[in-house]
Order: sequence, then structure tokens, then C-alpha cells
Amino acid sequence: MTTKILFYLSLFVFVCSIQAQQSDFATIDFTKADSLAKAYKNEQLTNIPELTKKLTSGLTTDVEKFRAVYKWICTNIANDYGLYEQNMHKRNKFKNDSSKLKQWNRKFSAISFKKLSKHQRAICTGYAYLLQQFSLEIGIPCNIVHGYARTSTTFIDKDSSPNHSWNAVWLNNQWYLCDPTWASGVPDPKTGTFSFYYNNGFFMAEPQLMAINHFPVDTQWLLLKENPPTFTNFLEAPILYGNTFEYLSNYNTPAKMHYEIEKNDSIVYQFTLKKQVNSKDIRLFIDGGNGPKEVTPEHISIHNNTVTLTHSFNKKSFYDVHLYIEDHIISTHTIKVHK
Amino acid sequence: MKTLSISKSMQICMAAILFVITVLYTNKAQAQTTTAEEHTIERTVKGIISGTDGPLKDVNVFLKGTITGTTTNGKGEFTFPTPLNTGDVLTFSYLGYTTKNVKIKKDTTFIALSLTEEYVEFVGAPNSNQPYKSKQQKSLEE
Repeated sequence: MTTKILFYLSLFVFVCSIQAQQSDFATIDFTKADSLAKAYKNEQLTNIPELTKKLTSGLTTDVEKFRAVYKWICTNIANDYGLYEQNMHKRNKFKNDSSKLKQWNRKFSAISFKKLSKHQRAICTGYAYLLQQFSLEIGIPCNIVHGYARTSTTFIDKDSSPNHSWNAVWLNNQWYLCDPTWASGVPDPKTGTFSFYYNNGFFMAEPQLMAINHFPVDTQWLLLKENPPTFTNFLEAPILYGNTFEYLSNYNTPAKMHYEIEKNDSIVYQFTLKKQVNSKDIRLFIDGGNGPKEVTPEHISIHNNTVTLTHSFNKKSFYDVHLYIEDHIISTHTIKVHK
Repeated sequence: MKTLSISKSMQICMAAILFVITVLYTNKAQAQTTTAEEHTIERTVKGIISGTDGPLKDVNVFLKGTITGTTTNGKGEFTFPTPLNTGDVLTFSYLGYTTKNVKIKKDTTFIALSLTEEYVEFVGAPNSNQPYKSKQQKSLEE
């Protein structure tokens, strides 16, 4: 009897621990969907019903249809940094004047839709809205998820208002998370220019990894039933970068951004790779104030795609510690080393 | 004689009933024909679509569930490319406006519709590949 209960209990735990992620569709080949997205590049947004039909013609599964419209959005809608700055400026200005803020939001809604339809430029909510509209056309439920996002340049605290939007899409009886904005590329804050660079890591991103830098206002969209992180956990989490989502499926430790340690104490990294990486390509760059310098990690091992990396600090100082894989930045922590 | 008169009045009565039945049946049949005809009467549907600031150009007009459709011209006008039947549903969509469905009634030949602007609170934090730099490190550099 006890064995039976244990069996069902373990089965339950196993089922719960399965996360909705891209690898669920490992057998699906997206070549056809991707080539349709490419074939209709430069199409206008004036006729979404017709564009959706073109993008999904000949595709048989919902996930392929969704992929085609998602890929089209990510490769055709540019991130408008100017629009982002303009909005941030006004939102901060009217932070304590709710009627003026509301008025601005209405005005900005109209501005944003015009930018989107006439110039195919948007900020996050525009991407998420568009993905929802396309999904509606193909009959796939898709929600806009509003929430908080942390990057190396955007800082938020417990009093910040939501600053990002992404999507949850219902495919094969499950919700999946996608971030079409971050998948489209990265704008240059200095010049305001945007370069398209499709990042596949945000297509059905792993919920656990996603929760490190995306925190929804409505926490059901974390899609994490077991031990979901709190907003405080999220605020204390390390900085992850776009590339992280291409290389990793999970980032376990260090779980916090800032650490204070004693001299000769070590920091232990543990994360899961989703593609083959040579251990010598996992690199540490430490910045003690004179710019980042590469150091050889003291210990590194890869076992079943799980990487364990240990490094100790033997000098009292304050460090920014960057983890890289090949030439791509993965995470940043700060370490204050006491005497 | 009495029997005869009864049977005669019965005959009249039955004839009257028969007549009423016939009339009712014919009427019903006619009514049915009219309804069927109404369904099959195809007509060209035209219309004008406007938004908050007047006529809307490029509004998508589709026969629901099909790929048949058109878009409005610079004056917000459209002529649906195929004749429509009573009961057909047209879908009007335009990015940034709430999509509306209009059912074609038996006397519909012209649709004047105003679309409502969708209000969305736009936010957006772009991603960054720029490595994070602590304030401490920044101040050391300066």
C-alpha cells in the first residue's frame, strides 16, 4: 500500500516537474514555417488576416503555424528605442499624477499603433499584441503577459511599475512562454539603432530560466507550480543575457546577484546546457575595477549537460563577475570579498 | 329529410374545413417560399468605415471564415467583391481598433460602421547585451 502511494506520489512529482518548453516539440521540423516567414519578409501589416493565411499556408500543425507568425514578427518588427525612451520619460514624469498618466497612456497607445502599422516598429507590448492578433487569426489562444523584466541596463526595485510584456501561448493543451521582443534583436542604447538578430531561446523558453529575468504581475504566468519564485527572489536574481536562453535550459546557482564572502571562499556555479559546449569555452571574466580580465576557473566539470564551476577569491575587493560561453555573455554577479 | 339536411350541412361544414385547410396550407407554403427566396437573394454590399478621426483607410473586410474580402479605400469606402446572402457575417479589422462582426440582414445593402480604438498600455524594456557594470566599478573608472 505504502509502495503504491509512493509510486503515485513520485509519478505526480515527476509530472509536475515537467516544464513546458521548446524541447517538447523536438520532433517538429520548423524549416517550412521558418521559410514561409522568410518568403513574406517585407509584407506590410495592413492586412493581418491575409498575411496570416500566407504565412500558414500548407502548414498542418498549430505549433508550426504559430512558429511561422512568431518568426515573421521577430524578423520584421523593429524595436523602437526612441519610442521606449519617450514613454519612459513621460511615465516617470507623470508617475504621481494618475490622470495625466492615463491621458499619456491613451495618447501613447494611438502613437504606438500608428508606428506599428505604418513603420513596423514597436516596443514590447506592440510585439506581444501583434503576436496575440496573429494567433487569434489562426485560432490559437495567446495571452499578453504584463510584468517586470531585468536586464543589465534596466533596473527595477519593489516600487517599480511593470516595464515589459511577453506572451503565453496555448499549444497541445499546455501554456508556453515566448518573448518576441527579446527574440527580435537588441537595440543600441547609444545610437538608438536596432539590428535584427533572431534569438531562438525565447521561443517556448524554459519557465524556470524565464522566471530569473521575467516576473509576471499575475504569477500564474510563471507557469511554475512547484516552489515558484517570489518577487523578492526575482529582484535578487543575477543578471542574465539574451544568449543565456540560447545556451542554457536552467541556471541554478549562484541564485543571487550580490554576494559578500570571506577571503578564499568560493562561488559555485551550476547550470544546465541545452547544446554541446566544450568546457574550455566556459569562461570567467572578473572586473575588480580595472576592466574585465579573463581568469581560468579553478574547477569545471560537465556531467549530463550540467556544468559545475567553482572559483575562489583570494583578495579583498569588490568584483563584477561575468560568465561567458564562447564569446557570449551569460550572467553577471557581484562579489564583495572581505578580509 | 331531416337526415338529408344534416348530411348536407355536414357536407358544407367539411367543405369549409377543407377550404380553410387548403388556404392555410397554401399560405404556409407561400410563406416558406418567401423565406427560402430571401435566403437566396444575393446582393452587393457596400459601406463606409470610420474611426475616431473620420474615414478609415485599409480596413480589412472579410467574409467570416473565408479568404474572400477587400479593404477600404482612402474615403473609408468598400464594395464587397462577391454578392452576399442574408445571414452572412462580415468581419471588419484594423490594427489598433477592436474587430467588429456585422451580420447581413434581409435588407442590408449598405453598412456604415465606426470602429473603436483599442486602448493598450504600452510598456517595453529592450534587452541588452551590454555587460553589467556596478556603480563601484563605474566610479573607479571615472
